[in-house]
Amino acid sequence: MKILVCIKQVPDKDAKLVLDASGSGIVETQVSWEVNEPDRFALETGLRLREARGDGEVIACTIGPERARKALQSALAMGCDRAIHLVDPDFQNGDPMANARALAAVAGKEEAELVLCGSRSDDAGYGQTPMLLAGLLERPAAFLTIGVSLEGETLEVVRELEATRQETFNLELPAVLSIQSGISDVRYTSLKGIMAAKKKPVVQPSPAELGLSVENLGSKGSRLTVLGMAPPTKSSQCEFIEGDPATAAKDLFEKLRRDAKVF
Amino acid sequence: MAKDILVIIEHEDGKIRRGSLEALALARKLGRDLDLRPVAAILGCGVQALAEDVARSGADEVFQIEDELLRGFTPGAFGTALHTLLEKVQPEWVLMSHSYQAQDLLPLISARFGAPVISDAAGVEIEDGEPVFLRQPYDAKLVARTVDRGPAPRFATLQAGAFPSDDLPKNHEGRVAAQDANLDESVIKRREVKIRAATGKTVDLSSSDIVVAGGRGFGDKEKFEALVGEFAKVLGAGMGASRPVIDNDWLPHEHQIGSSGQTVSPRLYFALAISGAIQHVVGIRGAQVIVAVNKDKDAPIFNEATYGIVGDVHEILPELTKIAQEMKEN
Repeated sequence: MKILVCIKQVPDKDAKLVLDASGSGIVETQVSWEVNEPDRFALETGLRLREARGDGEVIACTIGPERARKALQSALAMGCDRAIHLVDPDFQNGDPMANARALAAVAGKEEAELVLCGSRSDDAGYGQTPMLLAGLLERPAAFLTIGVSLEGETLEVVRELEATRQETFNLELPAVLSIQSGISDVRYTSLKGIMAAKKKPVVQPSPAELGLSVENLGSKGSRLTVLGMAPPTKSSQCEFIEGDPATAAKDLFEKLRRDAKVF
Repeated sequence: MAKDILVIIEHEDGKIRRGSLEALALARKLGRDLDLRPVAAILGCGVQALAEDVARSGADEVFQIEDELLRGFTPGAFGTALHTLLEKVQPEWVLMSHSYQAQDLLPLISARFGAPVISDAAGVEIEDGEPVFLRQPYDAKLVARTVDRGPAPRFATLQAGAFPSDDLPKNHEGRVAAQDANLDESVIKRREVKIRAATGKTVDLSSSDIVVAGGRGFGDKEKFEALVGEFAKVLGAGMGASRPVIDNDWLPHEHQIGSSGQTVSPRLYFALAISGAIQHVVGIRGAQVIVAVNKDKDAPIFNEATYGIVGDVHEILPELTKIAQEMKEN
């Protein structure tokens, strides 16, 4: 059984973001990059399913420039068998639909029975690429998977719902799952894993090799356009309390008592 | 004849969900701005009264789609019925609240039209006759003005609470168009669907007068328990957390506040080392006074806060606890 895990490299959560000259992107050299958090849980889920079954292959795939190679190396170090890097410039800067087209072609070519993705990226955060991918592949899917096991060709899925409820159901393979953070503990990578990763294959297929027309990919193939980005306008409501910790704490409680009258 | 802007209405326990009314209100506004007819779709089994309710609340036409297989939600049945409807109606825009159901459903449908979804929009402006949606990428650290310049239908989902629904009419003369979906059972791929509470235990923070909540910034479970736990104890407050805390097992799931956890509306809410991702913020908008402590002065939580302290919780929280303790003793 083949499991394809789609991952994305994103700026680290505490990164200070600086807008680029166009105003619709960030300055990439000013941030450090990491594997998108939910995607690490998707990788873990893929590896656990392979281990439970005792055979099969977990393939990591990403769309991204040269820097994204590092995300694939982390996936390989965790235990993925091989990796696919959609590094060609024609794949880059796509909207979720353009990205889903590229990933669907990979899933099709690899004949992956199960495709796993993180539920949402910490950068653009559209949170829909896995479900678009499922739509294109005409496969059943689940958004926000918080539990999964596999019996034969049947997946038992637990899905998160609003207001601390959850839904369980069965799905037949082939399927697509969007994996929520926290589904299971993500393994630490061992030095042995890191060494082994260096010998594992990473391929870089072109759009043509995936049977894709470049008009449908990347920025060219995108309908969505970001006209510009800006920091959110600050609400003037927040009153900042200055001073060293002891002074600030004292002032805060004084204001809560005197002005806000909550005590 | 004007083209349509269509809202997919969600309902639960015989009531229209509030987010769907917010979407309807926005459809009416965009309808006026863009010369589009606000219409709605409601799917289910025995939803005629709800459909009429939607028509009275401002939809010019409500497509009431009935089928035994639409009694409970599955993306297979709902997606198939909606796809058929959209092919027929050919709306310019399809709107839905950015609910879990929308995220589980809408991209499956939009993909068939070659369209992505402008998801989780927190605002919309009209520029040169075109709606520009305001999204909040990078965990709401930035606002992205986003447009879809592809052909109709175009899709957008709307952040809960971001659009007001209070100006909806009560006696609008919309009409209900009922139709059977004639679904075949084979469209449903999910089998043995069951819904249950996430955990056996319940922690009800909704009635807490004061809620103290902590986030990822505490660094580890021991510090979280010691600092947040002590402060909550001294204040007699309920203890909550943002999602990363729950994911790291520092606190059980029933303490989670936000879209996948509880919604709280205390008199006083402390957001300690919580950055203020929208998934958390939607759960605390009912709080009267919000105090935020965060080391990043640009953290989005300060946009929600009444009072803010920029600094390290490891230094500030012990001081807060000390003062709360003194206050209690007096």
